[in-house]
Amino acid sequence: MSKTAIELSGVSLKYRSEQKETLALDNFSLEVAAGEPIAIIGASGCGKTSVLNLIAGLLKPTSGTVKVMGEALSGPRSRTSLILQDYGLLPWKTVLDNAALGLIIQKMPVREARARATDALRTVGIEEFARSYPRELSGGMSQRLAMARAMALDSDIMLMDEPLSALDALTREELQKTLIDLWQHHSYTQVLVTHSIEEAALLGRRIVLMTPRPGRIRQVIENPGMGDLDYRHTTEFHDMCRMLRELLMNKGEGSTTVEEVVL
Amino acid sequence: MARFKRILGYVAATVVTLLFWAGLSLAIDNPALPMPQVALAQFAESLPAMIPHLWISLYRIVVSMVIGTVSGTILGLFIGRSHLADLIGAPLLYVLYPIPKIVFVPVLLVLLGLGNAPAIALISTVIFFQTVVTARAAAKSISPDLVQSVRSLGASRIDVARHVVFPSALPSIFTALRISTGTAVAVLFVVESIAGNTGVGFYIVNAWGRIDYATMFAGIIAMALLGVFLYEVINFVENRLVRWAPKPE
Repeated sequence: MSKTAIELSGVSLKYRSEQKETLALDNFSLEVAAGEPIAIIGASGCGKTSVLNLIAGLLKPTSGTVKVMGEALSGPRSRTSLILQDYGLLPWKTVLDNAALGLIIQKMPVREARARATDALRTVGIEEFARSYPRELSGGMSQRLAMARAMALDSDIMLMDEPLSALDALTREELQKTLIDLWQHHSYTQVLVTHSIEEAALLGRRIVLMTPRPGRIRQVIENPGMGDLDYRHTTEFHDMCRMLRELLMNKGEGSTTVEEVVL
Repeated sequence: MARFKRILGYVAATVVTLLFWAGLSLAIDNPALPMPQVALAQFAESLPAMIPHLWISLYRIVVSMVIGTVSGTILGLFIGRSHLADLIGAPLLYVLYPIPKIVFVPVLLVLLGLGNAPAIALISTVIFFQTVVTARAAAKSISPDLVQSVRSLGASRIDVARHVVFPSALPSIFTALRISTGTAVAVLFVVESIAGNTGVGFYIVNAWGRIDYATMFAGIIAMALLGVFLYEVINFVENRLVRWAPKPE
């Protein structure tokens, strides 16, 4: 029995703006085992990003608890990495120093941080750009750099918010391969938020379907074929995508062939 | 190649200025505007005598720029990042910013005497306001996502200030500094010409009082060169510190 890496129980989250109060998440409960890759999918505005920010420790739940590695979260945790769609790179730092940023913030000596960052850049295949600035990188390379920053930190939890949606189709496919490859070699816990059905099916061993306003879990779907680089070309994969699409299109109660999660 | 182009540009600009000056001098035909060669010859001759004045003027302006820029940057970034400070700071800033600080020359002369103090106080204030407004705007325009991504790495407020806020505001602060150079030299001239017996401003007005127009122009050339020199120093420092930004041509 593997241990639980992330545990959200009965979490609700309210945003207050001016006079309006928005319930972003309502009684949201989710457990992710250590080393498990999950994908969260849903329409925009369904609170997917809020879930990530809660796990990252950047938001506090209005009620309910968030535990990471068995401990209640009080703020950002050093071995949890958050990777965003717009990469989160600092334009004024070189590629190498961007990769080393997390370590520098943790007060590691610069020389050592740079050495570890260099290894991380090699892992994601952009070590020859170490001395460039982010504006000289393509979108795909920028996202590789964001991953390198997480790798340098030796992260055990990888949170990704639409990491590939700004990329063109070919680059996206390459990065999907890299993500699967990295996960297989480093076996971190992964929570991927996406609105792409293919991406969810490719990168989530469990796929969490969310309903919008307030964000709730509608269904959790097992996707055991995930993790194989050739999964994309199998009929299971296409069936999975078709089923997800039908579930997402059908706003009512989901198909009865998949296990319902009662809220 | 780029360096060569720059130098060529400076040479061309100087030639155009001198030609325009010569033409204007011929057209006006008044001893108050001597021909450039007369003024330049006098500049060469008066330079040894002007050096102490130049040093004093340079000292006043550099000290003021450092005081004004450092304090303006710190306060501007703080106001721009702190909601509470902005609530109090922003209205205050916008009331005080448009007041022409130069009108306080008489007050400062009475309070601070005739030495370096009134010039430094006034020029620092002018630069301070320029910088504080710019730094505040720069701090406000920082992408929240960027801050969020750095915070998720466990960054404290100090880390965010050091790795995100300060470097991202640096290009705008240099722009503010470059814009305020001209104002700073102008304010310096006014203060030095009104009171005291030191600085290039005094030198110019003193020659003017003696109806020695050639020497007056030697002083004007010195003051112009002071401005150009400061501008170039700022460019040089900016190129060292802001290597990441695309260069506007």
